[in-house]
Amino acid sequence: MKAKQPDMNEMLNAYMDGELEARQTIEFKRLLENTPELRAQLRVLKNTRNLLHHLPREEAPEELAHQVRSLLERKALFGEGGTGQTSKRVGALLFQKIRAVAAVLALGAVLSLLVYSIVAPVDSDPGEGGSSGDVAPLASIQGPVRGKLELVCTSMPNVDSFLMRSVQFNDLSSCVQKEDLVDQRLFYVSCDREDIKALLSDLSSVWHQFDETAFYVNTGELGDMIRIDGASVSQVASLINEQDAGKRIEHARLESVRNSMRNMTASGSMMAAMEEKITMPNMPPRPMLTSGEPNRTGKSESPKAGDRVELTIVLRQSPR
Amino acid sequence: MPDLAPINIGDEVLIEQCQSGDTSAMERLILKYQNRLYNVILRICSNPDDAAELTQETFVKVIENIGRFQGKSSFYTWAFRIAVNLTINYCKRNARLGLKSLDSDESESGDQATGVLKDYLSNDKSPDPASIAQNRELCDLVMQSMTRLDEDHRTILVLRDIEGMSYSQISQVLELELGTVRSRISRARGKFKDILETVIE
Repeated sequence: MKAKQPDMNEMLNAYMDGELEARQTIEFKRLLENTPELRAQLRVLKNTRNLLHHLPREEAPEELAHQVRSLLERKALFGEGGTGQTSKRVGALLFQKIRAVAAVLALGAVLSLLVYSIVAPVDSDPGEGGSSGDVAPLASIQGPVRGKLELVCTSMPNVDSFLMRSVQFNDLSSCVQKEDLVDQRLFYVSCDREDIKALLSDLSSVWHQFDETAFYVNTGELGDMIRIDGASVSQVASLINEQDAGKRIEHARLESVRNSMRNMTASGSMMAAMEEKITMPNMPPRPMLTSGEPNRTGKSESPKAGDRVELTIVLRQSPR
Repeated sequence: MPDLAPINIGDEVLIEQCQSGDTSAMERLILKYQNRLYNVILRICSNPDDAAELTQETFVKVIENIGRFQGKSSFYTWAFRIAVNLTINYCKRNARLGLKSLDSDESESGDQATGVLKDYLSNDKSPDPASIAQNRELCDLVMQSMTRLDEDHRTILVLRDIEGMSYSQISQVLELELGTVRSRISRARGKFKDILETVIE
């Protein structure tokens, strides 16, 4: 009899996991009904399993994609492989050296630009399309704006349905793909600038409900994104509104530093107060949505490539 | 009325886009799986820093090899196979080098958590699952108990009871026969229960 014990345990586990065949399940149910000992065993087993099942889910570190990209670059450069402690340290040291050199070069470039912007002659009669004396943009690549907007709130379902209504109201259903994960909602938006402005305008009315916000501006390479913590809706809108990719990236870096400084300094409240006076570019306030309102009509059908926006909106439930 | 039901963007589509060099598809793939992979890796290796590095390395391997992915298995099980192999190798290597975190051997937990665990295991009624997640001490106690299992048993419990994989998915991830999966789950749960009982004694 004792030799059969392991099989019984396996059956019990498979029954609990719903992994028995239909006929076996019926037979095992009958056996359970007639065996109180087995029922007690099953109860303890269920409690043990539930302990693990209900452990809190941990979230991956932010900017994982960026780190993946760095790793891919390091591998390409040094042929680094695996998590061996030695190769890891050597790789990290080399990476730090390169980063230091890059930082010095970047600093030099920024200082040169700064000096140039001070001493460069300014055209007194600017012509159409900008003056000849302006500092040239770092890059003038035209293309779709790509980014990610992370929004954390305590009432995810409410904001989720609000956002879905906004998508419907703005006639953007064909431009939005939505994915529901356990603890977050993903909206993949691919539309033109005007549409995204309408969406952001709607979002501005619930922006105060977000405990945390972060806007990531894609620089065009895998995982290389500039993160703006605590981004306001006007910052997001103005970055999306920037048509020149180079200027947008430059602008994003400035906003990122600015927000980081605001978070760090005690004068944050003063900066926030100053910001309130800045109006959102090209964004009239929009009424709250109601189910009876008609859909917007006359939406442009095929925007130019440069006017396209690919935005991933990540809506998360706050753990608080 | 436009249909706005959640769309599950198929892995097949994303993989095709990745294979053609679409970096935004790669980011979507990372975004889609990063939390699940990180969570599984963390529960196997028990160290957040190591888990973060191993998750990165998993994605690097996934991206490096995505051109060779032919869809014979699902992307989900393929990615988890890479993650689990990396993690188990890493754990075994560190254990051999004596680098195992000292924290995992500390079994000092509050009496209160031990008491809650005792009540929980012997409870006839179905306890409130939310109370488990909110009790940090209890969660730490459970995780410490998990570290006492060997890697193979810990891994199979994580895949089944934390990630919620079916036996068939586990057999693909661990490249084991279905019967072996069944018996290993049974043994792992038995050992885990024994460990918990020694903790509450």
